[in-house]
Amino acid sequence: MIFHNTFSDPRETIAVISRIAALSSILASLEWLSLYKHFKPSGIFSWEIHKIWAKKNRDRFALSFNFLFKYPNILFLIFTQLIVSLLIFLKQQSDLSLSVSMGFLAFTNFLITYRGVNGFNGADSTSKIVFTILTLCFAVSSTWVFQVGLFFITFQLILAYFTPGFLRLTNKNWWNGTYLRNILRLETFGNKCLWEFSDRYTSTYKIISWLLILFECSVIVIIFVPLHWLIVWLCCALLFHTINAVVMGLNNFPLAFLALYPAIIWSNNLIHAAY
Amino acid sequence: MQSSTSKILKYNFYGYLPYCRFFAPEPVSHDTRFYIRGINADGKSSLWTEPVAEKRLAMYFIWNPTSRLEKALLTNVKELKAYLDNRDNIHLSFPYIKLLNVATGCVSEDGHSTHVQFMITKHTGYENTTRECLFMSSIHKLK
Repeated sequence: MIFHNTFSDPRETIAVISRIAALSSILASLEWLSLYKHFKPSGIFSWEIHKIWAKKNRDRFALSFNFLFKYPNILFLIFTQLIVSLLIFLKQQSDLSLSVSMGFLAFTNFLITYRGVNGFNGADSTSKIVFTILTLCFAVSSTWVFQVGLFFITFQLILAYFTPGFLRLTNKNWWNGTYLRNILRLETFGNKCLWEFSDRYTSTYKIISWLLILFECSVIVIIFVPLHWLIVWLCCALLFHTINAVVMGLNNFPLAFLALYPAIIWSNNLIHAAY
Repeated sequence: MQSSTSKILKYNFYGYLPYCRFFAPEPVSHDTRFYIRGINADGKSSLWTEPVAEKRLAMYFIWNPTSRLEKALLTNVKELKAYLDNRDNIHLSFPYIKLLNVATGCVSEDGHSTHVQFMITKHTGYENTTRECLFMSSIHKLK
C-alpha cells in the first residue's frame, strides 16, 4: 500500500529518486576525496599526463578546463559535489533549485569523466545518467516530463540487468560456472572463504551462475507482474548488490541501483492502473 | 560477442549509454599487480613495491575507495596490453607514460634512486599466488 501510494505520483517518485541518488553521490565524493594524494601530478589520476594528450589531440574543450582539472582544484570541484549532494539529500528545495543542483552534479560528473579519471565504475555511470534525467525533469517541471523521465530510468534499469544476463546466457563458460570460479578466486574481486567452500562443492558455481542468469534475464517481464512480486524481485536485486558489495567490494552499486527502483515501481503501478 | 559489445562501447558517449556489464561476458580471470623499484647510482636496486595498492578496509562493503584505484590500474594495464604486440611504440603510449609517471613520483620520494623501473604481473588470485611477469618496463633515468 505504501509503495502504491508513494509511487503513483510521478513528482513524488522523482523526489525519492533524487534523494537516493544524492546519497549515492555523497558516498562517491567522499571516496574520491579520500584518494586526494592520487590526484597529485605524480598520482594515477594526474591531470598533467592527460594534459599532454589533450594538447597532442588539440582537445580545446579539455584544455579550457585546465584551471579546474589541475591539482588541487579538482578536489575543490569534488568537494562542491559533496556539498550540493548533501543539500539535495537534507534540504527541501524548489524545482528550479533542484534543477540547478542536479545540473551541477551531472555536468561536474561529465567533466570528471572527460578529464580522464579511470577509476569511474558502472555505479558512477548510472548516477551520471540519473542526474542528467533529473536535471531535465526539474527544469521543465511538468507531469508529462516527469513521466518520460521515469520511463527512461525504468528503461535504464531493465537494460542494466538484461544486458549482462543475456551476455552470460550466450556464453557456455557462465553456464558451467567456470567464469564465476575465476572471479571468486581473485584477490581483487573474490573471496577466499567462498572460493574454498565452492571448490569443495563444485556444483555451487553452476547453481549460482544459473540463478544469476535467470534473475538478470527475468527483468524483462518483471515490470508486468503484480506489485508484490515486483517488490520481492527488487529485494532480491538489492540482496544481489549487497552480496556483491560484501564479496567483491563493489560498495557503490547498492545505492546507485536503489535510486532506480522507484521508477520501475511507478511504471508497474501505471501499467496495472491502465489495464 | 566480445567484439559486438566493444562496438556498443565505441558509441558510449562518456558513459551516457545505460550499459552495465557486471563482469559479463568475459570477466577478469587474473589479479594484476603494478610494481616499481628504484635503482641508485651504484646500480643497486631497491625491492619491488606496490605504489597503488592499499589494504582493503574492514568496512570495505560500505567504504571502499581502494576499488577505484584498482579499477584505474586495471584500465591502464588493459590499455597497455594493446601495445604488447608492437613494442616499438610502447614507450610513447599513453598508458606507459601514465604508469611511468606514477613510478617516477614514488621513487623520487626516497631521494636515493637515480633510475626507475616498473613491472606488471598477473596471477590467478588465491589459487596460485606466484606472480607471472606480464610486462617489464625499460630502466628510465630520473631528472
